[in-house]
Amino acid sequence: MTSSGIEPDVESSLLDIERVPFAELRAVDDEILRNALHHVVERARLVRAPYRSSNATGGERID
Amino acid sequence: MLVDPVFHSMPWTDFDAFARLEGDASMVRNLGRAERSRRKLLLLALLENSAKTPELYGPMPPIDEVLELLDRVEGTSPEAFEQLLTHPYTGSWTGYTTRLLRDGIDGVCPLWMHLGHVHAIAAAAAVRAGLRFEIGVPAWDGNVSLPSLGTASLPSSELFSVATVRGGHRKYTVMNGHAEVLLPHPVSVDGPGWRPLRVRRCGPEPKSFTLHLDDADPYRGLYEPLLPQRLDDDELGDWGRLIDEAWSLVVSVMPDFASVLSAGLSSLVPKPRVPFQNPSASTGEAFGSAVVGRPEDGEGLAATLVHELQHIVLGGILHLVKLYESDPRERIYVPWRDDPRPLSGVLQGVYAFYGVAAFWRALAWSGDSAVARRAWFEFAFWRGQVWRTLMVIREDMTLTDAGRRFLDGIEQVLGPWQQEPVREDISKLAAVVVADHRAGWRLRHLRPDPEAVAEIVGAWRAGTHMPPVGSIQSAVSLTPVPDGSWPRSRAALIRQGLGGDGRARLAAVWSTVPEATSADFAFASGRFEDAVRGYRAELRAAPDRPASLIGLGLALDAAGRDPASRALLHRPELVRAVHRELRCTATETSTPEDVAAWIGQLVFG
Repeated sequence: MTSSGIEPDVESSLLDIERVPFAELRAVDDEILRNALHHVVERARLVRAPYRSSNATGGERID
Repeated sequence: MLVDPVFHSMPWTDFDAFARLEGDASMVRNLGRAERSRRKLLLLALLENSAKTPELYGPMPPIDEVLELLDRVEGTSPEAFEQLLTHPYTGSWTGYTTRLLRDGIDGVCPLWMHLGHVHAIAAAAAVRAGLRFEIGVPAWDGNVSLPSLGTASLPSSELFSVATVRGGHRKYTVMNGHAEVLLPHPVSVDGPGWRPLRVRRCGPEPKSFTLHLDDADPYRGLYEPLLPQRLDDDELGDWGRLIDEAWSLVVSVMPDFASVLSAGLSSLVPKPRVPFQNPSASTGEAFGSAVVGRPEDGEGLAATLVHELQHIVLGGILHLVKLYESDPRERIYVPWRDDPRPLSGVLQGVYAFYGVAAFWRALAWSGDSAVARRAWFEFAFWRGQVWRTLMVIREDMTLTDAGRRFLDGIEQVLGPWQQEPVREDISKLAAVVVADHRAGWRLRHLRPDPEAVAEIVGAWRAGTHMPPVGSIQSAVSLTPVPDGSWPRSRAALIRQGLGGDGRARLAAVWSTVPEATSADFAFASGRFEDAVRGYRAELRAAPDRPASLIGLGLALDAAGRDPASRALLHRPELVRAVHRELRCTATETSTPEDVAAWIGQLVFG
């Protein structure tokens, strides 16, 4: 699938499991799923919350 | 084994469209799909990792009961299962609890309470699916959260305890050893002991907007879980009116963006009003949600919703595409915060305030005379501030190719806005607020070279006519630790003076603006000589005060006295450092203004 006919889509490291039932997913034990779990868990672990602010007009953001 | 595994993707055309503010609802829904996959994976990882140590669940029922209930929900009502993944605070809960589990520590509540939130999530989904079931759920100070549905309140003498949700076929109760709460049918209405999640629906179709007002979900905050803070009826009414006004405005002036907003923002966490401010916040873990302090009017809320939607969209993009390499160094000036920021935060701010500039631009061009002056001011202010920041980061070494492409897209849209005509008096006001914040930031976060300061002090004491050129131009170092505080009172006063009755309003409210001084009031009123006298008086009492030093620079500039104002606005950190040294001598009687006028001979703005 291409976006413009020339350029391939941006492919992420996030496994698309929207159509995989959760019950089935729990029974899966393969490397792709292990890697996918590792990917999201590691990203969640990287989240820090150092950006406290009393700023007025701005927002603050945690990522 | 996963058959033909696929990964979430995004057409580059969508990526470019987001950068150019041309995204649409389907593109945002695509980001939402990715978020559901992400949450499903995090949920699975959390359950797998915690199941290895059942005792972590303390008094909660075994995790197998949750898994069985989730399986039944998914088998009976896939929509209910999807809803539990769509709920923004499922995302923040999985993230928060994943980190606690990694560190093996308690959070705001004991770890078993946070892990046990999955029991509550499963119970809420089961109620939504209409299943017959019974399960234990956590109760925090007697509050039993059923995420996305509401909260039951039970009497409890324990801060952390376990309650039971039981029932089926539209009749459910939440109980503990002291009382029980019968959930009304539908669960969206109030009942004794039951506080449903409230929702505001704005129309009419096809531009409709459904926004939940979540004042109860424990994971609705930014950092840590919170107890419910229920809006009373008056507050709820105020929020409803503000949301209606804001939605109507966005539909009117940014109709295409309205569809994006409706697709991307589903939940608002209401916070109390902070006078003269519009605070708001969000987290990439709660896609679809924003925490918002109650603004004064619909325009303020509309700008805030656009701002937060931009954060939400960028958060979704960042889960799919790497725009920069990790670099936590707080090193870049941004005009929307008082502290230096890492690139990640700068990029978030650029994208959010780019949207804000677009909103005020659209409102300004709409010709609504009641808000025109304010809209033009905010447009003039934000287009320039975002542009200057964009110019700083566009060549940053930590950007990836995708990151540079994203910024290029922003630049294509934002660039032409810089040439759009804005009335001169409004442009000047915007420039004053720009200069004020920038100079205040320099003063507090830049440190002059001590050797250069010593040389300048020596020259002053020697009575030289001009300061040493090399020392004036010496390098400064950046520190995230501020030297002094920074009230935003002057900017707030200038904004108060923008309306049709600005002068009268300014006179009426200035003394209620936190930390505003009479000199600030004089400056915002255009009485610059009075402001000069006022800031001089402030500096006699507190010669290091940042807002007084910069205020004096602004007032002198407006009054036409150049050398001192140039130094105070462009090298304030040097003026203060030199004056501090001079004050160490008991006989020294010079003022910061004297020093600024001397240094200013070699400063060019």
